[in-house]
Amino acid sequence: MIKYIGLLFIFIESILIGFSFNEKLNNKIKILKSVKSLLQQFKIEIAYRMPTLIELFSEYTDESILQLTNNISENLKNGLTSEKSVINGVEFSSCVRILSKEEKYFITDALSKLGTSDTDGQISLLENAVERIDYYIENAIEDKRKNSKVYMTASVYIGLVIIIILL
Amino acid sequence: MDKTLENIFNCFDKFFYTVMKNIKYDINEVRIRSDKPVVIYIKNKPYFITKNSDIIPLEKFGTINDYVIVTFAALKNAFSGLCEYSIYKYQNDINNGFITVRGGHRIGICGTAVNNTDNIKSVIDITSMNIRIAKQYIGCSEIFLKNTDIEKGILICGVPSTGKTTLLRDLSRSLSKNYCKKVSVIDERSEISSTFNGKSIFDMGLCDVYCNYTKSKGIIQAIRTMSPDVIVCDELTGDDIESVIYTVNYGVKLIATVHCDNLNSALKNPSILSLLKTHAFGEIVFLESKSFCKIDKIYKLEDIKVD
Repeated sequence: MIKYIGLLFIFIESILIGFSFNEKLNNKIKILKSVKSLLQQFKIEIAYRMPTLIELFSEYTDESILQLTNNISENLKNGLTSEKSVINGVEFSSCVRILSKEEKYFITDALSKLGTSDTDGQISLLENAVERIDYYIENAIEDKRKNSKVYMTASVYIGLVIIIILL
Repeated sequence: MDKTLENIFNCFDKFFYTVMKNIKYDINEVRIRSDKPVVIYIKNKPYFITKNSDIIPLEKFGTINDYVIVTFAALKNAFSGLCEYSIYKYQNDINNGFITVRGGHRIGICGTAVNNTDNIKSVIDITSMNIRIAKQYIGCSEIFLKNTDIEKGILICGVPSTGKTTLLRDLSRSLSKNYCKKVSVIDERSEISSTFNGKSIFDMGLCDVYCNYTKSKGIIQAIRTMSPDVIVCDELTGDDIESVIYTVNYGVKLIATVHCDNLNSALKNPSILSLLKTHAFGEIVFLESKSFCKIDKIYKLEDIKVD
Protein backbone atom coordinates (compact mmCIF):
# COMPACT_ATOMS: atom_id res chain seq x y z
CA MET A 1 0.00 0.00 0.00
CA ILE A 2 2.78 2.47 1.02
CA LYS A 3 4.59 1.60 -2.20
CA TYR A 4 1.56 2.65 -4.28
CA ILE A 5 1.13 5.86 -2.30
CA GLY A 6 4.84 6.60 -2.88
CA LEU A 7 4.46 5.98 -6.60
CA LEU A 8 1.41 8.24 -6.74
CA PHE A 9 3.41 10.91 -4.89
CA ILE A 10 6.27 10.60 -7.45
CA PHE A 11 3.78 10.88 -10.31
CA ILE A 12 2.18 14.00 -8.81
CA GLU A 13 5.61 15.49 -8.10
CA SER A 14 6.66 14.92 -11.71
CA ILE A 15 3.50 16.65 -12.98
CA LEU A 16 4.13 19.55 -10.57
CA ILE A 17 7.65 19.96 -11.93
CA GLY A 18 6.20 20.16 -15.45
CA PHE A 19 3.62 22.61 -14.19
CA SER A 20 6.27 24.82 -12.56
CA PHE A 21 8.28 24.93 -15.80
CA ASN A 22 5.08 25.96 -17.55
CA GLU A 23 4.46 28.63 -14.91
CA LYS A 24 7.96 30.01 -15.49
CA LEU A 25 7.08 30.60 -19.13
CA ASN A 26 3.91 32.43 -18.07
CA ASN A 27 5.79 34.52 -15.49
CA LYS A 28 8.42 35.47 -18.02
CA ILE A 29 5.73 36.92 -20.29
CA LYS A 30 4.14 38.67 -17.33
CA ILE A 31 7.42 40.27 -16.26
CA LEU A 32 8.34 41.38 -19.74
CA LYS A 33 4.88 42.91 -20.14
CA SER A 34 5.29 44.69 -16.82
CA VAL A 35 8.62 46.12 -17.94
CA LYS A 36 6.95 47.27 -21.15
CA SER A 37 4.21 48.97 -19.18
CA LEU A 38 6.86 50.58 -16.95
CA LEU A 39 8.66 51.96 -20.01
CA GLN A 40 5.39 53.31 -21.42
CA GLN A 41 4.42 54.90 -18.11
CA PHE A 42 7.87 56.47 -17.72
CA LYS A 43 7.54 57.92 -21.21
CA ILE A 44 4.21 59.56 -20.37
CA GLU A 45 5.38 60.79 -16.98
CA ILE A 46 8.63 62.28 -18.31
CA ALA A 47 6.80 64.03 -21.13
CA TYR A 48 4.07 65.41 -18.90
CA ARG A 49 5.31 65.79 -15.32
CA MET A 50 9.09 65.43 -15.50
CA PRO A 51 9.53 63.66 -12.17
CA THR A 52 12.98 62.56 -11.04
CA LEU A 53 14.13 58.97 -11.54
CA ILE A 54 13.69 58.28 -7.83
CA GLU A 55 10.07 59.41 -8.02
CA LEU A 56 9.49 57.41 -11.20
CA PHE A 57 10.79 54.16 -9.75
CA SER A 58 9.22 54.54 -6.33
CA GLU A 59 5.81 55.43 -7.77
CA TYR A 60 5.67 52.35 -10.01
CA THR A 61 3.75 49.71 -8.09
CA ASP A 62 3.22 46.75 -10.45
CA GLU A 63 3.52 43.69 -8.19
CA SER A 64 5.44 41.51 -10.64
CA ILE A 65 8.48 43.83 -10.80
CA LEU A 66 7.97 45.69 -7.54
CA GLN A 67 11.17 44.30 -6.08
CA LEU A 68 13.16 45.54 -9.08
CA THR A 69 11.71 49.08 -8.99
CA ASN A 70 12.09 49.25 -5.20
CA ASN A 71 15.71 48.13 -5.40
CA ILE A 72 16.54 50.69 -8.06
CA SER A 73 14.83 53.56 -6.22
CA GLU A 74 16.57 52.59 -2.97
CA ASN A 75 19.95 52.49 -4.73
CA LEU A 76 19.30 55.93 -6.21
CA LYS A 77 18.29 57.27 -2.81
CA ASN A 78 21.54 55.89 -1.39
CA GLY A 79 23.49 57.98 -3.88
CA LEU A 80 24.45 55.33 -6.44
CA THR A 81 24.61 56.56 -10.03
CA SER A 82 21.64 55.64 -12.23
CA GLU A 83 23.74 53.09 -14.11
CA LYS A 84 25.01 51.37 -10.96
CA SER A 85 21.55 51.51 -9.39
CA VAL A 86 20.02 49.69 -12.34
CA ILE A 87 22.81 47.11 -12.68
CA ASN A 88 22.67 46.39 -8.96
CA GLY A 89 18.86 46.40 -8.96
CA VAL A 90 18.60 43.88 -11.79
CA GLU A 91 21.29 41.67 -10.25
CA PHE A 92 19.65 41.46 -6.84
CA SER A 93 15.99 41.22 -7.83
CA SER A 94 14.70 37.67 -7.69
CA CYS A 95 11.71 38.63 -9.85
CA VAL A 96 13.87 38.97 -12.96
CA ARG A 97 15.94 35.85 -12.28
CA ILE A 98 13.83 33.76 -14.67
CA LEU A 99 14.72 36.04 -17.57
CA SER A 100 17.49 35.08 -19.96
CA LYS A 101 20.87 36.83 -19.91
CA GLU A 102 19.96 38.69 -23.08
CA GLU A 103 16.65 39.90 -21.68
CA LYS A 104 18.31 41.06 -18.45
CA TYR A 105 20.97 42.86 -20.46
CA PHE A 106 18.27 44.59 -22.48
CA ILE A 107 16.45 45.77 -19.33
CA THR A 108 19.70 46.96 -17.73
CA ASP A 109 20.72 48.75 -20.89
CA ALA A 110 17.35 50.48 -21.37
CA LEU A 111 16.91 51.56 -17.75
CA SER A 112 20.49 52.65 -17.10
CA LYS A 113 20.30 55.24 -19.87
CA LEU A 114 17.39 56.95 -18.14
CA GLY A 115 18.09 60.40 -16.79
CA THR A 116 21.13 61.01 -18.98
CA SER A 117 19.64 63.28 -21.62
CA ASP A 118 16.95 65.88 -22.25
CA THR A 119 13.21 65.12 -22.48
CA ASP A 120 13.23 64.47 -26.24
CA GLY A 121 16.18 62.12 -25.85
CA GLN A 122 14.47 60.26 -23.02
CA ILE A 123 11.23 59.88 -24.97
CA SER A 124 12.95 58.47 -28.06
CA LEU A 125 15.02 56.18 -25.84
CA LEU A 126 11.86 54.85 -24.19
CA GLU A 127 10.01 54.51 -27.51
CA ASN A 128 12.92 52.54 -28.86
CA ALA A 129 13.01 50.34 -25.75
CA VAL A 130 9.27 49.64 -26.04
CA GLU A 131 9.76 48.52 -29.64
CA ARG A 132 12.63 46.28 -28.63
CA ILE A 133 10.81 44.72 -25.72
CA ASP A 134 7.96 43.74 -28.03
CA TYR A 135 10.43 41.42 -29.75
CA TYR A 136 11.30 39.73 -26.44
CA ILE A 137 7.61 39.44 -25.50
CA GLU A 138 6.79 37.83 -28.87
CA ASN A 139 9.68 35.41 -28.40
CA ALA A 140 8.48 34.53 -24.90
CA ILE A 141 4.91 33.93 -26.16
CA GLU A 142 6.24 31.77 -28.99
CA ASP A 143 8.46 29.92 -26.53
CA LYS A 144 5.46 29.28 -24.31
CA ARG A 145 3.34 28.10 -27.24
CA LYS A 146 6.03 25.66 -28.30
CA ASN A 147 7.23 24.38 -24.95
CA SER A 148 4.21 24.54 -22.68
CA LYS A 149 2.68 21.29 -24.00
CA VAL A 150 6.10 19.67 -24.21
CA TYR A 151 6.79 20.33 -20.51
CA MET A 152 3.39 19.03 -19.41
CA THR A 153 3.49 15.90 -21.61
CA ALA A 154 7.12 15.19 -20.72
CA SER A 155 6.37 15.50 -17.01
CA VAL A 156 3.48 12.99 -17.31
CA TYR A 157 5.62 10.54 -19.34
CA ILE A 158 8.61 10.88 -17.04
CA GLY A 159 6.33 10.25 -14.06
CA LEU A 160 4.88 7.16 -15.74
CA VAL A 161 8.33 5.86 -16.75
CA ILE A 162 9.59 6.23 -13.17
CA ILE A 163 6.48 4.36 -11.90
CA ILE A 164 6.99 1.53 -14.46
CA ILE A 165 10.65 1.22 -13.56
CA LEU A 166 9.88 1.10 -9.84
CA LEU A 167 7.07 -1.44 -10.32
CA MET B 1 24.64 71.80 8.84
CA ASP B 2 21.39 72.32 6.97
CA LYS B 3 19.99 69.04 5.60
CA THR B 4 19.66 70.47 2.08
CA LEU B 5 23.34 71.45 2.13
CA GLU B 6 24.29 68.00 3.38
CA ASN B 7 22.42 66.57 0.40
CA ILE B 8 24.48 68.75 -1.94
CA PHE B 9 27.84 67.77 -0.46
CA ASN B 10 26.74 64.15 -0.29
CA CYS B 11 26.72 64.10 -4.11
CA PHE B 12 30.51 64.50 -4.01
CA ASP B 13 32.87 61.89 -2.58
CA LYS B 14 32.76 60.96 1.10
CA PHE B 15 35.97 62.80 1.95
CA PHE B 16 34.68 66.08 0.54
CA TYR B 17 31.38 65.56 2.33
CA THR B 18 33.12 65.01 5.68
CA VAL B 19 35.40 68.02 5.24
CA MET B 20 32.50 70.30 4.34
CA LYS B 21 30.36 68.97 7.17
CA ASN B 22 33.07 69.79 9.69
CA ILE B 23 33.38 73.44 8.66
CA LYS B 24 31.95 75.49 11.47
CA TYR B 25 31.58 78.79 9.63
CA ASP B 26 28.58 80.29 7.89
CA ILE B 27 29.37 79.71 4.21
CA ASN B 28 27.92 81.97 1.48
CA GLU B 29 29.40 80.31 -1.56
CA VAL B 30 31.40 77.24 -2.52
CA ARG B 31 33.45 77.36 -5.71
CA ILE B 32 34.56 74.03 -7.07
CA ARG B 33 36.85 73.80 -10.06
CA SER B 34 38.01 70.45 -11.37
CA ASP B 35 41.44 69.46 -10.05
CA LYS B 36 41.87 72.83 -8.34
CA PRO B 37 41.56 73.70 -4.63
CA VAL B 38 37.99 74.33 -3.49
CA VAL B 39 37.31 77.93 -2.44
CA ILE B 40 34.61 78.90 0.02
CA TYR B 41 33.26 82.37 0.72
CA ILE B 42 32.52 83.40 4.28
CA LYS B 43 31.08 86.92 4.64
CA ASN B 44 32.05 87.41 0.99
CA LYS B 45 35.74 86.68 1.65
CA PRO B 46 37.42 83.74 -0.12
CA TYR B 47 39.20 80.92 1.70
CA PHE B 48 40.80 77.60 0.80
CA ILE B 49 39.85 74.56 2.82
CA THR B 50 42.48 72.23 4.26
CA LYS B 51 41.94 68.50 4.56
CA ASN B 52 41.23 69.06 8.28
CA SER B 53 38.35 71.44 7.51
CA ASP B 54 40.41 74.50 8.49
CA ILE B 55 40.12 77.61 6.37
CA ILE B 56 43.10 79.53 4.93
CA PRO B 57 42.79 82.98 3.28
CA LEU B 58 43.53 82.93 -0.44
CA GLU B 59 46.63 85.12 -0.11
CA LYS B 60 48.26 82.53 2.18
CA PHE B 61 48.32 79.85 -0.49
CA GLY B 62 50.69 76.99 0.30
CA THR B 63 51.16 73.84 -1.76
CA ILE B 64 48.20 72.48 -3.68
CA ASN B 65 48.29 69.15 -1.84
CA ASP B 66 47.38 70.83 1.45
CA TYR B 67 43.92 71.72 0.21
CA VAL B 68 40.73 69.93 -0.68
CA ILE B 69 40.53 69.18 -4.39
CA VAL B 70 37.63 67.75 -6.38
CA THR B 71 38.62 65.76 -9.46
CA PHE B 72 36.99 66.11 -12.87
CA ALA B 73 35.40 62.65 -12.54
CA ALA B 74 34.05 63.44 -9.07
CA LEU B 75 32.63 66.72 -10.35
CA LYS B 76 30.93 64.91 -13.22
CA ASN B 77 29.37 62.35 -10.87
CA ALA B 78 28.35 65.04 -8.43
CA PHE B 79 26.65 66.98 -11.19
CA SER B 80 24.53 63.95 -12.12
CA GLY B 81 23.66 63.50 -8.46
CA LEU B 82 22.76 67.17 -8.04
CA CYS B 83 20.41 66.76 -11.01
CA GLU B 84 18.92 63.77 -9.14
CA TYR B 85 20.18 61.59 -12.02
CA SER B 86 17.41 63.18 -14.08
CA ILE B 87 19.07 65.57 -16.51
CA TYR B 88 15.79 66.00 -18.43
CA LYS B 89 14.24 67.69 -15.41
CA TYR B 90 16.99 70.32 -15.24
CA GLN B 91 17.77 70.65 -18.96
CA ASN B 92 16.37 74.17 -19.42
CA ASP B 93 18.21 75.43 -16.37
CA ILE B 94 21.42 73.66 -17.43
CA ASN B 95 21.21 75.42 -20.79
CA ASN B 96 20.91 78.71 -18.89
CA GLY B 97 24.02 77.88 -16.89
CA PHE B 98 22.69 76.90 -13.50
CA ILE B 99 20.46 74.55 -11.59
CA THR B 100 18.45 75.23 -8.45
CA VAL B 101 18.42 72.36 -6.01
CA ARG B 102 16.34 71.57 -2.94
CA GLY B 103 16.77 74.31 -0.40
CA GLY B 104 16.74 77.01 -3.09
CA HIS B 105 20.53 76.83 -3.47
CA ARG B 106 21.59 77.92 -6.92
CA ILE B 107 24.45 76.04 -8.54
CA GLY B 108 26.14 77.83 -11.39
CA ILE B 109 27.83 75.53 -13.86
CA CYS B 110 30.57 76.01 -16.39
CA GLY B 111 31.65 73.46 -18.96
CA THR B 112 31.47 72.75 -22.66
CA ALA B 113 28.33 73.87 -24.46
CA VAL B 114 26.71 71.72 -27.14
CA ASN B 115 25.12 74.10 -29.60
CA ASN B 116 22.47 73.64 -32.23
CA THR B 117 21.75 76.36 -34.80
CA ASP B 118 20.93 79.21 -32.44
CA ASN B 119 20.72 77.87 -28.91
CA ILE B 120 22.70 75.96 -26.33
CA LYS B 121 21.34 72.43 -26.47
CA SER B 122 23.23 71.02 -23.56
CA VAL B 123 26.28 71.53 -21.35
CA ILE B 124 28.73 68.68 -20.94
CA ASP B 125 32.10 68.17 -19.23
CA ILE B 126 31.38 70.41 -16.27
CA THR B 127 34.64 71.94 -15.05
CA SER B 128 33.46 74.52 -12.51
CA MET B 129 30.58 74.83 -10.12
CA ASN B 130 29.55 77.69 -7.92
CA ILE B 131 27.20 76.73 -5.12
CA ARG B 132 25.39 79.79 -3.80
CA ILE B 133 23.82 78.97 -0.49
CA ALA B 134 20.29 80.25 0.00
CA LYS B 135 19.33 81.45 3.44
CA GLN B 136 16.36 82.98 5.08
CA TYR B 137 16.94 85.97 7.37
CA ILE B 138 13.59 86.60 8.94
CA GLY B 139 13.12 90.31 9.53
CA CYS B 140 15.86 91.45 7.13
CA SER B 141 13.26 93.45 5.17
CA GLU B 142 12.03 95.53 8.14
CA ILE B 143 14.35 98.49 7.54
CA PHE B 144 13.68 98.23 3.84
CA LEU B 145 9.91 98.45 4.39
CA LYS B 146 10.28 101.45 6.69
CA ASN B 147 12.28 103.39 4.12
CA THR B 148 10.34 102.59 0.98
CA ASP B 149 6.80 102.94 -0.28
CA ILE B 150 5.48 99.63 -1.53
CA GLU B 151 2.42 101.33 -3.02
CA LYS B 152 4.64 102.88 -5.68
CA GLY B 153 6.23 99.66 -6.87
CA ILE B 154 9.90 98.98 -6.22
CA LEU B 155 12.81 97.92 -8.37
CA ILE B 156 15.65 96.52 -6.28
CA CYS B 157 19.06 96.78 -7.92
CA GLY B 158 22.28 95.20 -6.79
CA VAL B 159 25.32 93.27 -7.89
CA PRO B 160 25.40 89.49 -7.25
CA SER B 161 25.58 88.39 -3.59
CA THR B 162 24.06 91.58 -2.16
CA GLY B 163 21.00 89.69 -0.90
CA LYS B 164 18.41 90.62 -3.52
CA THR B 165 16.66 87.24 -3.44
CA THR B 166 16.95 86.98 0.35
CA LEU B 167 15.36 90.41 0.65
CA LEU B 168 12.55 89.47 -1.75
CA ARG B 169 11.91 86.32 0.27
CA ASP B 170 11.51 88.25 3.50
CA LEU B 171 9.53 91.04 1.83
CA SER B 172 7.04 88.48 0.51
CA ARG B 173 6.72 86.87 3.91
CA SER B 174 6.40 90.14 5.77
CA LEU B 175 3.97 91.83 3.36
CA SER B 176 1.66 88.84 3.29
CA LYS B 177 1.80 88.10 7.01
CA ASN B 178 2.44 91.39 8.83
CA TYR B 179 0.92 93.84 6.35
CA CYS B 180 -1.99 91.59 5.29
CA LYS B 181 -1.29 92.12 1.59
CA LYS B 182 -2.29 89.61 -1.07
CA VAL B 183 1.13 88.71 -2.40
CA SER B 184 1.81 86.56 -5.45
CA VAL B 185 5.38 85.37 -5.84
CA ILE B 186 6.53 84.42 -9.33
CA ASP B 187 9.30 81.98 -8.53
CA GLU B 188 10.67 81.00 -11.92
CA ARG B 189 13.55 78.89 -10.62
CA SER B 190 12.14 77.88 -7.27
CA GLU B 191 14.82 80.07 -5.69
CA ILE B 192 12.68 82.44 -3.64
CA SER B 193 10.44 79.89 -1.98
CA SER B 194 12.37 76.68 -2.66
CA THR B 195 9.20 74.74 -3.27
CA PHE B 196 9.49 70.99 -3.76
CA ASN B 197 6.55 68.63 -3.92
CA GLY B 198 4.22 71.51 -3.16
CA LYS B 199 5.97 72.53 0.06
CA SER B 200 8.14 75.56 0.55
CA ILE B 201 11.31 75.07 2.58
CA PHE B 202 11.32 78.74 3.60
CA ASP B 203 8.64 80.56 5.55
CA MET B 204 6.73 82.38 2.83
CA GLY B 205 3.98 83.72 5.08
CA LEU B 206 0.64 83.80 3.26
CA CYS B 207 1.96 84.19 -0.27
CA ASP B 208 0.61 82.53 -3.38
CA VAL B 209 3.68 81.02 -4.99
CA TYR B 210 3.79 80.46 -8.75
CA CYS B 211 6.56 77.93 -8.98
CA ASN B 212 8.49 77.31 -12.21
CA TYR B 213 6.26 79.72 -14.17
CA THR B 214 8.15 82.05 -16.46
CA LYS B 215 7.96 85.57 -15.06
CA SER B 216 5.86 86.95 -17.90
CA LYS B 217 3.31 84.10 -17.80
CA GLY B 218 3.27 83.99 -14.01
CA ILE B 219 2.60 87.73 -13.69
CA ILE B 220 -0.31 87.60 -16.14
CA GLN B 221 -1.81 84.50 -14.55
CA ALA B 222 -1.49 85.93 -11.06
CA ILE B 223 -3.30 89.13 -12.08
CA ARG B 224 -6.05 87.18 -13.84
CA THR B 225 -6.65 84.59 -11.16
CA MET B 226 -5.38 85.61 -7.71
CA SER B 227 -6.23 89.36 -7.56
CA PRO B 228 -2.92 90.23 -5.87
CA ASP B 229 -2.05 93.57 -4.26
CA VAL B 230 1.63 92.96 -4.83
CA ILE B 231 3.55 90.74 -7.24
CA VAL B 232 7.09 89.77 -6.34
CA CYS B 233 9.59 88.43 -8.85
CA ASP B 234 13.33 88.04 -9.17
CA GLU B 235 15.67 89.17 -11.94
CA LEU B 236 13.41 90.90 -14.44
CA THR B 237 14.72 91.34 -17.97
CA GLY B 238 13.66 93.28 -21.03
CA ASP B 239 11.69 90.20 -22.19
CA ASP B 240 9.22 90.73 -19.34
CA ILE B 241 8.20 94.26 -20.41
CA GLU B 242 4.73 93.29 -21.65
CA SER B 243 3.76 91.61 -18.42
CA VAL B 244 5.17 94.55 -16.43
CA ILE B 245 2.94 96.91 -18.45
CA TYR B 246 0.06 94.56 -17.66
CA THR B 247 0.63 95.09 -13.90
CA VAL B 248 0.58 98.89 -14.43
CA ASN B 249 -2.70 98.68 -16.34
CA TYR B 250 -4.32 96.59 -13.63
CA GLY B 251 -3.00 98.67 -10.74
CA VAL B 252 -1.02 95.84 -9.21
CA LYS B 253 2.21 96.80 -7.45
CA LEU B 254 5.39 95.10 -8.51
CA ILE B 255 8.50 94.41 -6.46
CA ALA B 256 11.29 93.04 -8.59
CA THR B 257 15.05 92.83 -8.78
CA VAL B 258 17.63 93.45 -11.50
CA HIS B 259 21.40 93.07 -11.66
CA CYS B 260 22.91 96.54 -11.59
CA ASP B 261 25.34 98.45 -9.39
CA ASN B 262 24.43 102.14 -9.75
CA LEU B 263 21.95 104.52 -11.35
CA ASN B 264 24.24 105.47 -14.23
CA SER B 265 24.69 101.90 -15.35
CA ALA B 266 20.96 101.28 -14.85
CA LEU B 267 20.09 104.12 -17.17
CA LYS B 268 22.61 102.89 -19.74
CA ASN B 269 21.15 99.40 -19.64
CA PRO B 270 18.40 99.23 -22.32
CA SER B 271 16.36 96.55 -20.59
CA ILE B 272 16.40 98.31 -17.19
CA LEU B 273 15.62 101.60 -18.89
CA SER B 274 12.66 100.06 -20.68
CA LEU B 275 11.44 98.59 -17.37
CA LEU B 276 11.62 102.05 -15.77
CA LYS B 277 9.78 103.59 -18.70
CA THR B 278 6.75 101.42 -17.96
CA HIS B 279 6.30 103.45 -14.71
CA ALA B 280 5.69 100.24 -12.83
CA PHE B 281 8.38 101.20 -10.33
CA GLY B 282 8.02 104.43 -8.38
CA GLU B 283 11.18 103.79 -6.40
CA ILE B 284 14.53 102.34 -7.38
CA VAL B 285 16.52 100.93 -4.50
CA PHE B 286 20.22 100.15 -4.79
CA LEU B 287 21.76 97.69 -2.36
CA GLU B 288 25.22 98.12 -0.89
CA SER B 289 27.70 96.09 -2.86
CA LYS B 290 29.88 94.81 -0.02
CA SER B 291 27.21 94.02 2.53
CA PHE B 292 24.05 91.96 2.68
CA CYS B 293 20.45 93.22 2.28
CA LYS B 294 21.49 96.78 3.12
CA ILE B 295 20.10 99.80 1.29
CA ASP B 296 22.69 102.01 -0.38
CA LYS B 297 20.50 104.58 -2.13
CA ILE B 298 16.83 105.11 -2.93
CA TYR B 299 15.78 107.06 -6.01
CA LYS B 300 12.28 108.21 -6.86
CA LEU B 301 11.26 107.69 -10.46
CA GLU B 302 10.05 111.30 -10.81
CA ASP B 303 13.59 112.49 -9.98
CA ILE B 304 15.10 110.46 -12.80
CA LYS B 305 14.70 111.36 -16.44
CA VAL B 306 13.70 108.14 -18.11
CA ASP B 307 11.39 109.33 -20.90
